[in-house]
Amino acid sequence: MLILTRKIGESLLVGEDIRITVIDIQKNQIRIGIEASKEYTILREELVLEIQQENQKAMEIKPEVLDELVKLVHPSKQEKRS
Amino acid sequence: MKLNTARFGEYEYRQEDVLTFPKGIFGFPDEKEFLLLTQFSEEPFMWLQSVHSPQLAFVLLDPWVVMSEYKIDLSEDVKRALKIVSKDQVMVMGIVVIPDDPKLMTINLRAPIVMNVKDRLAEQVILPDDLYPIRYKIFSE
Repeated sequence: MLILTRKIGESLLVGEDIRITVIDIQKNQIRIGIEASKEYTILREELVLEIQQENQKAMEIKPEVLDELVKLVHPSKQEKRS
Repeated sequence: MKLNTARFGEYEYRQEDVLTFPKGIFGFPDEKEFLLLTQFSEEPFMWLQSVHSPQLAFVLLDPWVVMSEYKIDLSEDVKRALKIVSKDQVMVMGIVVIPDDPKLMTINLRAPIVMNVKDRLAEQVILPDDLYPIRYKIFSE
């Protein structure tokens, strides 16, 4: 990892079309401004990780739970099926 | 064409029905081809089955069924990537998580699956603002 020291108002350039600027610094928080062309999606890392984990959970559905679900959604089908 | 699935056994499909996710799905970046299956679930649910991984399938639900005021604005970026030029090409579904107690099931409204059903292109889009939760309870207590 490249580590650099910057002051408030100073920027970094990543390639030719991304500029990262330190806007403000508080005790344990910094505000960062990012200017980049629209092709880049900028997201908080923890949000992406959370969605990855959620997708992982989503694919672990047990078949018997699905049967339960059918009963919840269509209570009338419960008798027909059993 | 034949597809092996863990949940539905062997399944016959047509190549033109395959939905391509150029970026994969979050957590599954190499999974780029899926099929939308409606015949194995009760409405309004459907399955998104991976073409290449038999065990990989998601349950999807129409987000407007659980939240009538749900609204998403697709960025120009997403529209371009999915070749979306008109509304009638677009279908939006949320991925559902069903825990052991299905009454606690949730739908991900923050990162919906956006599909161009005409050109068979799709993407899981993370909405930029935090209006909608990742775990929205489908059954209210």
